[in-house]
Amino acid sequence: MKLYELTISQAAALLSRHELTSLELTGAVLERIHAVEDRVGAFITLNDEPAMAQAAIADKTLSEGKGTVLTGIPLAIKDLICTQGVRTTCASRILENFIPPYDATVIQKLKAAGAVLVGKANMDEFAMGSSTENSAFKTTRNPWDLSRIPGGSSGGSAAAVAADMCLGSLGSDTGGSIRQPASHCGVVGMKPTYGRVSRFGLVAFASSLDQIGPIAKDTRDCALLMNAISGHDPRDSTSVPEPVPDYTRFLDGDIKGLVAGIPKEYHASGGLDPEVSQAVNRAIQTLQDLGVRCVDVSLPHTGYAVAAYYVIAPCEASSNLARYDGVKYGFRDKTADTLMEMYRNTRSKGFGPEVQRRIILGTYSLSAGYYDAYYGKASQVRTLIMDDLKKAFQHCDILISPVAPTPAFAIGDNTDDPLTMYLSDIFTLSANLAGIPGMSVPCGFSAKGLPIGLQLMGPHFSEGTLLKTAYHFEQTTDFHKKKAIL
Amino acid sequence: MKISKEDVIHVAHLARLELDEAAVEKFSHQIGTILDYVDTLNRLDTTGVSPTSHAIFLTMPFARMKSRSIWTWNWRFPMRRKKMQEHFWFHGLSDDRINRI
Repeated sequence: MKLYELTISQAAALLSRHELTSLELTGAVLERIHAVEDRVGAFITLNDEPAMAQAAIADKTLSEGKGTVLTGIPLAIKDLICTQGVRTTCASRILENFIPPYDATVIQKLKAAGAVLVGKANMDEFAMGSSTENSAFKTTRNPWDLSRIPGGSSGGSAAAVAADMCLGSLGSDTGGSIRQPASHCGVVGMKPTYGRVSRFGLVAFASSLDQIGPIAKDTRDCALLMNAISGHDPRDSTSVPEPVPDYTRFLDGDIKGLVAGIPKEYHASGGLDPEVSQAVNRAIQTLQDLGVRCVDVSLPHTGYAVAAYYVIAPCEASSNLARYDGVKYGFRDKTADTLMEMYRNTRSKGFGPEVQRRIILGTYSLSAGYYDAYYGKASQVRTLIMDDLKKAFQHCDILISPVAPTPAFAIGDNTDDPLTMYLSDIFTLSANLAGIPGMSVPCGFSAKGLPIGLQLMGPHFSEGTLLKTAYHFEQTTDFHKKKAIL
Repeated sequence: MKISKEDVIHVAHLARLELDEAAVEKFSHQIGTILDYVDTLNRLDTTGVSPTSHAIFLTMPFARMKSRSIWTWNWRFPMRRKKMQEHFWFHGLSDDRINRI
């Protein structure tokens, strides 16, 4: 096995026994990045020299018998999480040269744990997209098939993990942006409960939906990253002061007798690819063989989730992105003669088409005369979707569904049809609208060799149960062990 | 089509975006299609349903506003009495205060 192929837990064991140094591990990962980056395109900014300096410090810490399980571990960070002194672009021209003066809370936590940050991962501009084709800088390619999308918006973070360009990464999930790329790239991704992980230093897209989470090679690594980044943060007023358990302790727990709800609306979805349906059904059978009891549940308002989400998210985005006016952040058009012209030129040249489309949609939905019809109505439907989930969790511990209706599609297939692109988020949006945790774990491959993910969702703060279920599923399958050949 | 080209131009102006003719044409078609789809929400009767703006129940971390006699704070800041009379004074927020709210 090559060093860059190690999981976090494998590497941590070697590092703690002094059989491996972080300089060797980080050097191997950086070499791997340079070998495959021109084909995968997972990174916007590489952090080579600072990463090696962090690795040297990590080795010193480990040699003193100190450190944590993440000390010396090379990680990638989605490029909308602020990193002090390292460019944070949100894959947008408008922040192309923005260097944050501070670290996001999750970055502070990872640095305190001794992690090595190898680079900033590509994404859809301001996290708006499901394919990473909306980046202003490059299109990331799926390591399993370079002609296909890696999913999005955290496509760079997922592709980097799948291509062994890091041992784990952080993404953000506003409507499925961790789970869907994790599914398409055959890795594990978790969207935590809203408020579980601090959003301080996460560049806002839709503040009531955004959540930072881990992407990893297996479930144990996912639990380790969750341990590191979770917890209350007084700097994020929506962070929840709930104690953080050791998530790795859940992994060996028993899942016999666990009740899993199968939402009939999800499995009856017209657009569900037969190969995805078969893989998910086989996964359900595997879980039943492990002692999980499956029951049918109904989420009657599922069909309205996409419509509600694509009002609420653009409304919040149009408000959040008003701050990019050429005055306070990043790019400024210097050809304008008046202040108004400067605003317009800066925003028109700085934002890409998808971001402009969502700003216009959000501004329209919030404008006088339309607010009640669009934002007000969508906010009421959000309540109905949350009530559906609350009722379902009275009958089951977790929900099981596909992550995405199809395996990864070809680059360019949906770029001119935003509605079709939006509809591919049907299975993941409800978790964001309700603030519940969800995760994707590899559960099969299509006939063309494309990964397929299984989605597990649970009530607020049930991450431990989800990780436990995913871990037991992994122990009887080997989908997560298969590697993309590059 | 739910949104006219004039509406797109007007909303783009409100959002401080400059669109060329091709973009106006494209956006009015695409946003119109999206809004047609969003209209499926109107099939639901939401009478009496409270709107949700936040997924987790949270208490707003702001101090309660209380009116008080200006003499109270003048008493606290006797040395700056004249200057303070021209201003309002608010309690700052501390973690401790937030937790007590």
